[in-house]
Amino acid sequence: MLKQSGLVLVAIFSGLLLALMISVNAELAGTTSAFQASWIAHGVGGITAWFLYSAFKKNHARANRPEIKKQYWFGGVPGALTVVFASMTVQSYIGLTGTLALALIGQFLLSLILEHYGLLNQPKTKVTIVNLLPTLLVAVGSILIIYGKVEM
Amino acid sequence: MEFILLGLLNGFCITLSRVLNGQLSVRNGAFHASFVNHAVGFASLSLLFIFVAEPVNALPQDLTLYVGGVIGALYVAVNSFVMVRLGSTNSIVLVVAGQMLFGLFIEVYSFGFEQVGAQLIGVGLVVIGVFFKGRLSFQNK
Repeated sequence: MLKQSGLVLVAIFSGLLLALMISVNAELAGTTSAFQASWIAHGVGGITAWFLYSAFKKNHARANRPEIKKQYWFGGVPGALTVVFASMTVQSYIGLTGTLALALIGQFLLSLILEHYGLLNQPKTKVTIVNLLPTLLVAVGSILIIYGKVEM
Repeated sequence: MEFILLGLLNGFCITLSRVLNGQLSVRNGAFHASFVNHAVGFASLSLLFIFVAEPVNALPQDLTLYVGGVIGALYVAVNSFVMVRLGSTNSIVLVVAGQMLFGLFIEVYSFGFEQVGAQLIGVGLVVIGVFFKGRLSFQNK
């Protein structure tokens, strides 16, 4: 239980990192372009992650590492695509708020689908009204935060 | 309509990326997964750069603008770590909650409280949602 609540705090903290990252990268995009900003951020991030990996590496022999499916290596591809899609929708009638709100709904939707069918090695969790409720509350609350700013 | 679908597709890509990175971290740890994610993303964007043929702007001098990449490296690692332990929906809901609350905090910090309207109700719903999520998902463990 204690371990679980620790993980919950870590997850919320990673959301804090994400908000900070988006805020800095948006400024970077302002001086360059959305595309180039993400390119630079991926480059800097790659170098940083390599240093972190080297510093904390436990020297497991290659043979002892668990086998995983080939497709798990390519998370960076959809990650890079989001930049392209987001820069397209931000410039459309949907705007920044619409982009944020739809990205949020899309994220929850795919995650629920993956878990409902147990795809991509996710533990199978059937969607029911009860377990959908907290997700819906967070989704609606987030959309209120995105759209709820008082027009000044 | 097509932009609405594109917006949803964007969200799909975010989840797909996080789930895949989580699964990759099983092999050689979260920092390795973060490194591979950034390297593959960098390569993909480099390829796209050639196709899109967008003009390349001068690199900014202000070093603080590069901190986003450093935070991103940490973020992907932490996210992959949490992903395989809490499950994807739990993780995403909690990450979004943290992101929204802290995002609003940054906004209030820079623009003051005058702009906060229905957002406060949103904060309430997010907090209640996270609370229920915790009760439902972890009470029997």
